[in-house]
Amino acid sequence: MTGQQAASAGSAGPTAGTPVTAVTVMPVGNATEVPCADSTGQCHLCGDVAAIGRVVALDQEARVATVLLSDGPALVAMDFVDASVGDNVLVQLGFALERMPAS
Amino acid sequence: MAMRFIDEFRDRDGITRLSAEIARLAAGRHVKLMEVCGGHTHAIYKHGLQDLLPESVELVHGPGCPVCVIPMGRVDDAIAIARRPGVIFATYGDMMRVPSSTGSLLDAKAGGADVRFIYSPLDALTLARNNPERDVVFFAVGFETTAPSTAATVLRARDEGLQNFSVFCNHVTITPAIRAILDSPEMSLQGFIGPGHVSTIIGLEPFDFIPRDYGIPMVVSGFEPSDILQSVLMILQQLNAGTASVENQYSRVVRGAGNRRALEMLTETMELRPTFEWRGLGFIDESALRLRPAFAAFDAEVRFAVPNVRVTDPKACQCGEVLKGAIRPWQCQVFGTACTPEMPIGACMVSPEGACAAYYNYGRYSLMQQRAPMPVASGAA
Repeated sequence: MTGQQAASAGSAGPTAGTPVTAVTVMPVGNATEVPCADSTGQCHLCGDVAAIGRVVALDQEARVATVLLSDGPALVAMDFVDASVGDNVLVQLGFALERMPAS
Repeated sequence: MAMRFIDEFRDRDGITRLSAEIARLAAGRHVKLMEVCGGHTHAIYKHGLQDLLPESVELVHGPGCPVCVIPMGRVDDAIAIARRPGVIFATYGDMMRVPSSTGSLLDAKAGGADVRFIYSPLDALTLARNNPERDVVFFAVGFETTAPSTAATVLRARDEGLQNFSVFCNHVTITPAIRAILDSPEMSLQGFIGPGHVSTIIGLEPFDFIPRDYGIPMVVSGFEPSDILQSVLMILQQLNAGTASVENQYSRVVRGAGNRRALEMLTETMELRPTFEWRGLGFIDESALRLRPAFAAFDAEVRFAVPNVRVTDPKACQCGEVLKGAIRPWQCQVFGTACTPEMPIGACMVSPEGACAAYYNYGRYSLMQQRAPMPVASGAA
């Protein structure tokens, strides 16, 4: 499954009460053939690297959001951050780490 | 399409101005700055930022690649767990190719162990839900940026009553490593480019000891080109003013107190280990995390017999010196010859954030053009 396909799989948005099943910043190929690196060769998962995306759907009960990242939508856990639809959040390892300022 | 939070930090004119201002402030002095974070190392090489700095500003690479600092013995331990019957061993891709004394996790997978790539600790939780008859073990690595995600995953596992999920915890904390580097007699630094996303979690206060005890400034930095250059500029401004403090260049993300909720989850689930071995830095007291006894049911080191292997790094590998900033990647005797990203000997060549891999991918061509070893202080990468 390509990164785009996998990202699309989560695009319908979270359903209330369902456990999180796919929380990914998807890889799209890289120079060093490291599976979790993105197209720039950076690993978003193992190190101090994160991506910024916009919240497009929220499920408060399940503590997850659908976040539009540069590679496509992804289901993101919101355990650490309070955010609303339209907010930008910093995402790493499938978790939102911080809400970005509005302006 | 313009990318907010990215394009504005890659503006050519702004970067040119920063570069000129850095050259002006650095005139007449030589400064050695360490970027702590592997993400910064990667960005510096990827964007050729060293070429925008004067020769008098030297960047050395710190221990901030979490894959690189895991000692070989812990990978041996991971493989021992992965080879147990009934275990699904879930790991990030980078860890798959890190060498142990008996091969890598990729080799173990080829030999029949059920080792799987995951992209988030929550993916390991999904594996546990979908395979109730198997033991799913998550290989947790990383600094304080990633540790809260593991903590939240353990809490979710507890709340769901999952009994077949556990964590092989190798999370490390950054400040003891920085102190170890500062106490190292072979290292003389004038400033730190501080870790941006670790600081998102822990805030700025944990770094106060650097200016207070060592008189050295730190600027917590973002990861775009102008972020890093501006951080260098802010350090130079402190040095020229004769001051030393912790400043926050990455204020669009980092709050002074960090992320309280993430820290609470971390505190609830994990505690400091008395000591932990770091590749290149040796054993450092209270520098790593383990699950608290209340979460022993989720602790792979409690659930399984982990051999606790101690392994000496291969003699040819100089990852230790690279991680301490004592040598540059290309000064390692096996860099780019016996050790490449395709066939790594040392962990620094495995992760894209490792200094050796970053330099191999982005910086070696300029080195080849020069056809001669670079002096440490040249600043050309």
